[in-house]
Amino acid sequence: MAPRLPKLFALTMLALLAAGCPKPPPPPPPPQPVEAPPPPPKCESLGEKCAAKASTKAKITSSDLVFTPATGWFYAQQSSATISQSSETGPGLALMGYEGDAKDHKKEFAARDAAMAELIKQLGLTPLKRKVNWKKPDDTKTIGAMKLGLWQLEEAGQRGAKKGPLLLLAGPIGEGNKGVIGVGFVPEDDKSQADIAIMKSVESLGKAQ
Amino acid sequence: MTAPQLAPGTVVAQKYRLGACLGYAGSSAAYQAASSDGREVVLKIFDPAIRQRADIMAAIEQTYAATNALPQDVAVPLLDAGYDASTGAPFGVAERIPFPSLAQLAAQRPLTPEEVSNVLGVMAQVLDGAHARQLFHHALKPTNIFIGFAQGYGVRVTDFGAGLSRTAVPTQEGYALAAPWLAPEQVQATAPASGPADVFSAALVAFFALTGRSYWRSCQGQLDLGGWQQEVMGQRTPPSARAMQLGAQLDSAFDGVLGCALSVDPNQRYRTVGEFAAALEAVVSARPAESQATMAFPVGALGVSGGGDYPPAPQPMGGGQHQHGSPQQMPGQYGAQPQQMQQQMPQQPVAAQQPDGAAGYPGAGPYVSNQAAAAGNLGETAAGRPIDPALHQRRPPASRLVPILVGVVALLLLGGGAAAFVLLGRKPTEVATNASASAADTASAAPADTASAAPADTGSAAPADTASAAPADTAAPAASGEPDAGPAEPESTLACDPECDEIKLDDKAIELGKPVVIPAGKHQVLATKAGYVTVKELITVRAGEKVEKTFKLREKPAARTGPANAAPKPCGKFLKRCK
Repeated sequence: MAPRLPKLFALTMLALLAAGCPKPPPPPPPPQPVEAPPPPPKCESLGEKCAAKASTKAKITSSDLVFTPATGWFYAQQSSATISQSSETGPGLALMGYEGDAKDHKKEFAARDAAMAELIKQLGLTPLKRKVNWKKPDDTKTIGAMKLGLWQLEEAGQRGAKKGPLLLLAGPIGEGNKGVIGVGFVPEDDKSQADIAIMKSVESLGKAQ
Repeated sequence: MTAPQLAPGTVVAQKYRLGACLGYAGSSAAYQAASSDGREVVLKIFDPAIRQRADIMAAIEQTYAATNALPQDVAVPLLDAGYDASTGAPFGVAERIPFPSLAQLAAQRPLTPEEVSNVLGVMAQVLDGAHARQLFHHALKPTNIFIGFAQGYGVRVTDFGAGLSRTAVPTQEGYALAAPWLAPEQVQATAPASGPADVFSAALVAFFALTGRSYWRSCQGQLDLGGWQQEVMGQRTPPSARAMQLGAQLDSAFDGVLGCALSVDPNQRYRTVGEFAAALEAVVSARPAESQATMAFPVGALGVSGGGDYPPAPQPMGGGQHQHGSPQQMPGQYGAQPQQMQQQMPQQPVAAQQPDGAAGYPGAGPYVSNQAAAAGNLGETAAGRPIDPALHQRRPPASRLVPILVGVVALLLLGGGAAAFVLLGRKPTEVATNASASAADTASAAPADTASAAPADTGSAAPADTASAAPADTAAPAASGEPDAGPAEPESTLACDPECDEIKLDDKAIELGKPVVIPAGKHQVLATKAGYVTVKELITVRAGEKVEKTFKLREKPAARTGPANAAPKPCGKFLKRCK
């Protein structure tokens, strides 16, 4: 009997100690599953309503070129053409690369005609009534290694109910037979100086980094 | 858009009443017109869209100014330019040329090599002069070249810079008209078109003049545009062989000269039209004289009033309907009124619609209406009427006899008239004086010691040799100071309205406002004033005749400022923003 007493004492003390101690905190709840942030918009259709910032570099379809759309304009890097516009019937610019033939004017001009028809279609413009005289640009612009021709067709564009001039740009990009072509439209009654914004966009053309 | 098609009677810019449409080339149209002061002119009106093209308008204005600076006895000057308020279209006005066009002459018969060489020589002077001023014609064709054989190969070249509007507003009509005369670099833009393009066109014109046919096979009858583009960039057939293919004749001696001028590469052509003309002349002079003209152009057609005898011009593409009918048949062929032609135009095929670029501006003279009126006939061939090669060969000997006989009769009449004149007692001295100005000069130069005695000598143009040592224009006062000098030469007066800056008599300036003694004979007077068109006139002075002449100067058309009704140019967008 005597050897059991210390054990009992010890157990009793332990019980008393245990009764006097605060309860241990509950285990932390398992971490809540966190939702992954949504991926950035690809801006591949105008329905995505991607508005361009000053730092935006939109990739030009069928080329390794980029450009900066006018700030605040919606843009879309579509599979057929890259489009930027301030509204569906307002000013707009469409660009794309094309495969021409630097040595054969006939083929080169035919490629431009086909590419331009696609851009006109993508911008929702009425088809052109006359052929573009690709041989004689109204102006030229050198951007980096590119020497682009610029043509202006007065009263040739109609987007929705709005009529206005068209700016065409085309030229080789210095890589084989590849070229870039674009169509810009501004309604005749535009007061926002959208034509200047389009010209700035054209001047921002450059190689993708 | 295209050039406005205006009805006869329409008044443009409140001062030009339009007549018949002479030609329509899509981006421009040419009309006969009468100015408010009754002057017969040709008015060329452009597509209003060109007005929006500041670069093109500037180029057109520069071309007009440069054209007016060329010798006006060859290059047809512009009289007026501006904008029509009602259509908003730019327009230009030039005088009507009273000569037949080369196209019309070649329709009568192919020109002889000598004639072609002479014409080309005159053309070369003005074209090379223009090239030196960086003014290129770029629209040379037989309907833009007018030839007055009666005036000693008076050649007038019109329509400088016609290609500008065609390029600015490309239309099917304009292209089809211009195509047969364009150089390869104008088609493919392989090199900037400049002077050599005019050399190329001049060679095509020369081939046409020599054969009556276009050099291009694809331009016989209706234009085959695709075929022509291949031809113009392809290998050249020797011109004599090509002429044979087309049923015409051309000496193979011309192959080298024409072949060089028709090179695809501009660098391989003659550098100037003058070089080409000189080379052609060398070939012509080296040939035997067997191919002299066998038929003179009708006498009535050589002068100003005789153009009605000319047939309509052949088609530019080579004259598929180039029929050598007798002159008596001609009026019936182009009896249609210009108004009818205008109504027919829109329905006709392109080739027939514009027989030979009559829209080509000032060029369209009174003869053009005839050629335009023949559009109906041209349309038939355009529709596919087969071409009979026999029609394009030179006239059979029998038909050549008629003009020869006419010529002989005319010579007999002239000879008889002259003989009667002499027999009736006309003074031989007067005849001699009137016959030639050089006769008077020669007479005055020889008897230097009798300078004060003979009236014809008082105005000697060789002051250093004369006894009085007075300059020619002061010879009269010196002579009048001598009591024994005999009857004094009458003093003449030359003036301008408005007052000139300078009047030159035989390249010698005279004192303005003071009488001058003008010796008998022919003299060239040049009246100039800044801002006005220089007047160059040949005056004939008879012995003892007093001349009082006032040269009416007209203002040069302003390059920038249009007529009073010209509206300010609106600002555009993109490349045409106002600065």
